Parts: sequence; structure tokens; C-alpha cells
Amino acid sequence: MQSLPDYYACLNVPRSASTDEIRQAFRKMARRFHPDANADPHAAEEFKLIAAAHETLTDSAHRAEYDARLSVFDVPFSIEPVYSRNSLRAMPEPQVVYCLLNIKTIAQTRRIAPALNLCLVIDRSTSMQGARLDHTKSAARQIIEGLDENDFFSIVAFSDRAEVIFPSQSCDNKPLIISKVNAIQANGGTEILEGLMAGLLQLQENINPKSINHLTLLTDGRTYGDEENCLLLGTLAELDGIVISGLGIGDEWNDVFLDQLTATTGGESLYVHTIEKVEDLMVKQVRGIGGTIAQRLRLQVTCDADIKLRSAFRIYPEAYPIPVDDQPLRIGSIPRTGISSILLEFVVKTGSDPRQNIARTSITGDILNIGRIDEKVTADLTLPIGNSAKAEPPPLAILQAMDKLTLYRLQEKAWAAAAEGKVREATQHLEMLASRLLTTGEHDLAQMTVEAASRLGSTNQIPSDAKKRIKYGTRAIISKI
Amino acid sequence: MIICPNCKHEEYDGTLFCSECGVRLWQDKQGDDTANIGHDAPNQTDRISTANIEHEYPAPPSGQIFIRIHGVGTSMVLTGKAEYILGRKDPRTSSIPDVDFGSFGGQQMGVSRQHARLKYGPDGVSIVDLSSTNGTLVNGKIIAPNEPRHIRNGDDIRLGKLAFSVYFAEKK
Repeated sequence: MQSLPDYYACLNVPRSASTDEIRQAFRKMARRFHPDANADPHAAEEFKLIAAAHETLTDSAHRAEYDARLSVFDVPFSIEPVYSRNSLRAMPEPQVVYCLLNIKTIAQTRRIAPALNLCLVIDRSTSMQGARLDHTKSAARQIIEGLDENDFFSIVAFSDRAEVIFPSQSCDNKPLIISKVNAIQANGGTEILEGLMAGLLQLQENINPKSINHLTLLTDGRTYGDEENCLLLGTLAELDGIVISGLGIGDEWNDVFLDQLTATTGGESLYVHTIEKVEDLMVKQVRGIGGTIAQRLRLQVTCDADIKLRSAFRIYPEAYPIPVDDQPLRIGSIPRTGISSILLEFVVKTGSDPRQNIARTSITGDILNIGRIDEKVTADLTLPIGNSAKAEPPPLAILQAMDKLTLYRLQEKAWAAAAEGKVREATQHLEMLASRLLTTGEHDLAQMTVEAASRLGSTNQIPSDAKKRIKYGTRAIISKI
Repeated sequence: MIICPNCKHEEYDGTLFCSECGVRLWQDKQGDDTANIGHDAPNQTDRISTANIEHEYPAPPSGQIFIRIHGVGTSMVLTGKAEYILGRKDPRTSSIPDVDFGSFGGQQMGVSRQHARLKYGPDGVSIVDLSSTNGTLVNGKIIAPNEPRHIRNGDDIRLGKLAFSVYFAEKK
């Protein structure tokens, strides 16, 4: 059920606003979002909402009725923006502003521990044989031990075909589940679509919008020819409220694909560089999932005229890039800590007003600890146009985020250049990254980057193990902030 | 537009770090006046400044010397040798120092081809000015040519007008 839209927030007026103030605010908002004035594809939607707000709030009977319903309705989370600069410059050229959106859930006295509906989908292809499968099974056993009896659990093993090792049900007989896990044998190729489909079907058995519905995919290989269908399944899973996260083992798996797949649902992908770490990583990940306060957060960024959203990156909890061409942006979950941070980068052309509106951001999500689905919160991003001589240095939170994000971007550039055969450019980027990593105190990663640069330079081949370690290593630095 | 001082890449106004080389592009109020070395007083306000951000690095692993050039934010790692010649590459005289400041405006800033020698021994790191044209300064004070001078982790060095900080583990 869609919750009641907050008309006051739409018009950016206090709840005590007079009819005149509401009319005035409506005219201002209409100028921003009327489809004739704003080319953003979502402007029309915003405009409709504003018009509805105006209609309801300017009619005293309707407003009283609306207020009565609204009064039982409190805001379950908030958006707090931090900007890279305290003012914009009046100038015809485009300029950049970074905005860190801190999304905070508001502490609740009444807490519900949401139920977990978890499915592990494990690659059992021949390459998993030995230590990889042994450690993975051990991780699965530890996860099962940690589950609550009321949680729903299922496990699927896949190679060319998928097998349901334990169908979705509550965990009151853990020894049985563990004996089934112990019997998993390695054999065959890697077809992720098979495993994914079987896993999602298991989750559907006990799906509940107020539960945490989660699929964890673990693989050490590449899937061929079924990537498109996997992504499609991801999109469908997202509609059902299922989050997919991924763990890649070793050097063979396709990190770009796993990132895309998990991004469709706002999930995260992790890299297991030494198999002995898989227990720690998986147990920690599942524990994190179990502590989720809010999930399926979707961020709609409707830019004002002449403004572009250039990039988005989740900074906290787990860092990952968010594709911006497909709105609303899937920004994942809010963990136990009650906060999530997203960094947005805008390219702005200033207008003639003394205050520049940048964008309207709305976040919709399920707030599990109070059992509310599809809650929506709106915040306007806006900055004054001022004198650049008085510019303050950027706030620490943004500097730290951008500083670390720059590291991640450098390695992305290096690998992109290497893939195009521009080895010199790639090694230069890696060397710059190495020296930046040293200043950050990341000596091991710096060393590895230096080695990767020299290997790339001498062999003209991208060292795929180092590539993954550097990619996920630089991401992990961002989350540490 | 802002032009990156390190790699000359063009960025929009307001960009914080160069997308091409990762160097920081924002300036705090004090700016990056190279003449100011040795006076990096910690900023008293809550706001972040260069002083806070650039001077809290842990020392690199023993045996490595780490150089951070002021103004451009570029850093280099020296490892594998006991002595390093600091200077500027000149194709005409085929002078090749271990550390080449040529691409950081070394010539305009008065760095000699063979300007100074950095030595990492068991008792620490020292620097010797090799009778350079514009001299060598440690923490803002000029040092006598051809006399080794002990330096400490985090010291500021200036070759002519080119300033950088040196970081290393005090004991090798």
C-alpha cells in the first residue's frame, strides 16, 4: 500500500503555513517543475504531485481531512544533505557541486525485528572442488547455526543445472540442513541463470514484504550467454522486494557482471581473494543483512532546469558505484547503524535567481523496524549564489569521501585504458594510484598496485587477480571512512 | 574551468580532485604558497585545511622514503637504494637524477640538474646540497653545501622554490 504523500514537504512549507503561503509556494514549485520549464523526464511526475498538494491544501475542508490522516503519520527517516561548497558562482560556464546525502532512520521506541527469508545460491562447478567448496560449506554451516528458528532458509547448489539442496522453510531442524550441506559435491560448469532462477523460486515460497528477502550468490566462474537473462531476473526480483548480493571467489569470475546484477536490486558484491576469508565474509554479510533497518531504498533525483546529475556513489555502508541513467537509483539498505550515505555529483549552470535550486530528491523505502512499506521522504537541494572570494573549504565528510572515491576512479580509468590497449596510460594511472594509496597509509594495496603496473607494462596483459584486489580494495577504503 | 596543476587536465569549476590524475584541486584560504614551508601551523578552526589533511600521514614501511610535493599533491616513493640524487632531467646533458622534478616545474623553480643527495642509512636520513645554484632549505633554513644534514620524518625540504615533505620510518 502506498503511504500518504507529504504535501507540505512537496511544497516545502511548514505544516502551519497559511493558504496564501501555500499558493505562493505552489507558484514557485510550478515554475521549477512544470514540464514546459524543466526537461527532466520526472519533472511531470513532480508537477502532478505539487498540483495535488496545492488542490488539497488550499481547500480548508480537504486540508482538515488530510491533516487528520497526516497527524498519525510521522516521518520514519530523514535526508540530510551536505554540500561541497556553501555557495555557487554566478557564471555562464558549468560548475560542479558534490552533495553527500545522509539518510538517517529516526530512532523508534517500538521496534520490530524483521524476519529473514534467506537463500544461499552456491556454485558447485568443478573448479570449486577442494578448499573452495570446503570453506564455502563451512561458511554455510556457520550461517545456519546463527539463524533464528523463525527465519526462513533455503540453499541451492548449481553447475550447469541447479539443485535445491534444502527447500525454503523455517530452521527448526538445523542438523538436517547441515547434513544436506555436507553432501554437496563439485561437478560441472557454471550457469548462473540456473542457480539464480532456482534460488528466487525458493524465496518466493515464503516471501513477505515486511521480511528481509535476500539471495546471496557465491561463484568462482564466468557465466556465458545468460548474463542478459540474469539481469532481467534481477529486475524482477527487485520488484518483488528481493535483494541479491554476490561473492566472487578467485580470478575467473566476472566482476562487472556481478556488480550489474547486484546493482539491479541495490545489493552489493564482494571479492573473496583468499578462500580462508570466505567464512568471515559470508557470516559477517548475513549478520549485516539480519540487522537491516530499512531496505529497497530508491532515490529519485529530479534535476532543476540546466542541471545534470553526473554520478552517484554509495559511500556507506558498503561502497559501490550507482548507475545514474536508470532512475530511481537503487541505493540499497540502511544497516543496524541507522545511516546510509550517498554522494551525488551535479553539473550546474546557474540561473538569475539569488538562490539556485539544484534538484528535488525523494527516497522511497521499506522501514522494517516499524513495519512500514513504501515510505517516502523528500528534500530539496539548493544553494545560494554568492561571492567566491568568501568560499569556505569543503566540509571534511565530502573531502574524505571524494579523496577515497578518486582512488577508486583512478583504478577504473587504468583498467579501462588497459582494455583499450593503452598500456602506457594505464600504467601511469596505476602509478599515480600507488602513490596516492601510500599517502592514505594503504601500503599493501600500494605495493600490489606498483606490481600490477609493472606486470601490465612488461606483459601487456591485465593481471586479473590484481585487478580485482585493487578494485575491491579501493572500494573497501571508501567504506572505512 | 580549472586546469590541473599536475597533469593539465581541464575540469569544471568546483571539482575537488582531478579525474585524470587524482590530485586535489581545491584550495584552502592560505593557498599553496611555496614560500610558506616550515610554517604549517595547525588550523585552529573546525574546518579542514591542508595542514590537517597533509600532515597526518603515518611513516611508510622501513626502508622506503616517501616524498610529497607541495602545491600539486603528487607523491613519490623511493625504495631499493641507499642514496638518491634529487634534481632535474636534462636531455641535452644526459643528466638523469634518481628523482626528477622536471615535470613539476623544476626548471622554473630553480632546481639544479644535480641538486641534492638524499641518503638513507642505519642512523636515519640525511640530505646534502650538491653546490646547487639556488640552495637547499630544511624547514625554511638554508643548509651549507656539501655538508650532510640529518632530517626528521615530516620535514619540509626546498630545492630552490620547489618544496616537498619527506616521510620515512626514523629507524631503518
